[in-house]
Amino acid sequence: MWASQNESHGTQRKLLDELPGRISWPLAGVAPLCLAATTLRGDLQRSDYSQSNLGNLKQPTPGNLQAGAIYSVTAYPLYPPQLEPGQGRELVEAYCNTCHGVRYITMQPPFRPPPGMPKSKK
Amino acid sequence: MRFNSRELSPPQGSEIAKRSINLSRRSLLRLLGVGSGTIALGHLLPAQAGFARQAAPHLPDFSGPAANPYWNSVGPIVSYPQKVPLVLLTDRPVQLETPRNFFLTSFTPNDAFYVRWHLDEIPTEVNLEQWRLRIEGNVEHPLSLSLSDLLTRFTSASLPAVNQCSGNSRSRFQSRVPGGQWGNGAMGNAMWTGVKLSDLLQAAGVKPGSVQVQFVALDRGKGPQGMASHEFLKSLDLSNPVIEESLVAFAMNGEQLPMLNGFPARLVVPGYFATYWVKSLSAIRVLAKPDENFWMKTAYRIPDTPRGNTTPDDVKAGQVKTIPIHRMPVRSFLIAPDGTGKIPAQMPVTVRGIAFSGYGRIVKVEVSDDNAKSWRDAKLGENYGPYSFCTWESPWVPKNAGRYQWAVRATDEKGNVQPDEAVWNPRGYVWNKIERQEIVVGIAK
Repeated sequence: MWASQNESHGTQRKLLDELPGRISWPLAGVAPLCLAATTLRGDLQRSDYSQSNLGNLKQPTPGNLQAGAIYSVTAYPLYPPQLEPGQGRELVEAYCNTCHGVRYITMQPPFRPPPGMPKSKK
Repeated sequence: MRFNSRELSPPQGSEIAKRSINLSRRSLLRLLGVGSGTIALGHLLPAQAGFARQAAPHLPDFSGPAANPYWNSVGPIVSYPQKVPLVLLTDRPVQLETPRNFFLTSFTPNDAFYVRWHLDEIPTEVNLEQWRLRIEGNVEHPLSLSLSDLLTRFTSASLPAVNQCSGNSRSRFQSRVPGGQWGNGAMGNAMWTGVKLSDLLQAAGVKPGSVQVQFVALDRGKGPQGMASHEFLKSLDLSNPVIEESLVAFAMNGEQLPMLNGFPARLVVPGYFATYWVKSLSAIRVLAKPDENFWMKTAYRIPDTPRGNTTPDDVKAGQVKTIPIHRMPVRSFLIAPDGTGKIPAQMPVTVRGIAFSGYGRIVKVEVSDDNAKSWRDAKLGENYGPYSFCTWESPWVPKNAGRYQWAVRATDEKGNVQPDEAVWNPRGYVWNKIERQEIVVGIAK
């Protein structure tokens, strides 16, 4: 039967406290690892790294702030999606990129315009 | 790679085993600088290195035509000034969703607060020597106020209030509707500080015969003047009691507004959907006639029916009378556990979340672990007033392994209870169906 969590920690601490008297200090550094290793059991899966990744982000800089009346942030980054190749892609990119980015297109799920909704004139 | 740790090597002949690099117990000790046999290692495991079997999976770029099954929308995580990484809906104008884990607390951090702009020319720089908030239109004494005026000439007031996009959870709609495909993260709660709108109107002196007050912002679009694509304008009836509760806020959570959330000042309309919370205010205009601009007359309207619900057939038949969207219906969310991990049976966990309503304080939150068949009361957290997030929690010890369908529903002080039926309207507004979360419990013995 396991002792409570605190008691279990206490037992480990007691063992560690006694280690200097039993073994030399260089060994004490690996002792916790070894103690842990002796308790490992289980069906494990390890070292599952992928050569690909989910992408990464660069951090925004805080900008160059001056003690005047101007309050500013750095320019807002754009994250344009790649539209599928096909007939008319250039027209879509030209006309649908004027008032807003084309992410409005790729964000939409496949759907039929509900009845009564005006059809896009873009 | 998968193998049984009681064996010192992976299963023979497997592709993984062939590509693995095994370090024996003896070689591991050598690496550690320890002579073999110094310490009994018992069942020390082999350390392994290996090569990837597959690419790391990611969410699809979009969901549909079924409802989005995820809590948040499915866009990429992106980086923006003054913001922690948020979920991208669109980049021009900027629309960003707050990830689920930021809703474990009553107040949403400024740098995680969601962002929604309508027009692409949004402020990145404001000169406060030139910026003025004008109180104009049908008033006795037009005012032109600097931020310093707002900070020093009027009595400040603070108010906790939830700001929620009208289209929050739009990606739940069936059939799907156009618009920003928000998950549940187009909302946030903050302590707003500013000047009461009624104090500003009183200082300017509203003339008799005035009917509405209109809010003008700094953002612009590329459309011609007078068109919806040029300017975003919203109005409230002067007879609406919410005028007395509204603030012109210059601070949220004790700091200036982030540029993307409406620096230097924005409107706060407690209990109302965020379409009225105009950001980067430049003018407050008293009107003698009702506002008929696109953003009031055409956009942000809901069917004049219970819950704003209708059907595609009724819309097609032209039978749907609409009214401007207004107060937020009662909602609640299960935030943790979020379903990304499996819970061992018999492990005590605390199921946690938030609730709010535009109609008043939350008085009850109920939870179910059997797909809304039976309910029990959750414990409510600290109450910050009628328009704030209210946290809740419910201790749970799952006895057996299995798949548990959790559900949560809230009740507000007006007696409004979250229903378990979906809503449909052509613009994708006012979703408040009971939320569910599957929690998987595994064997632990």
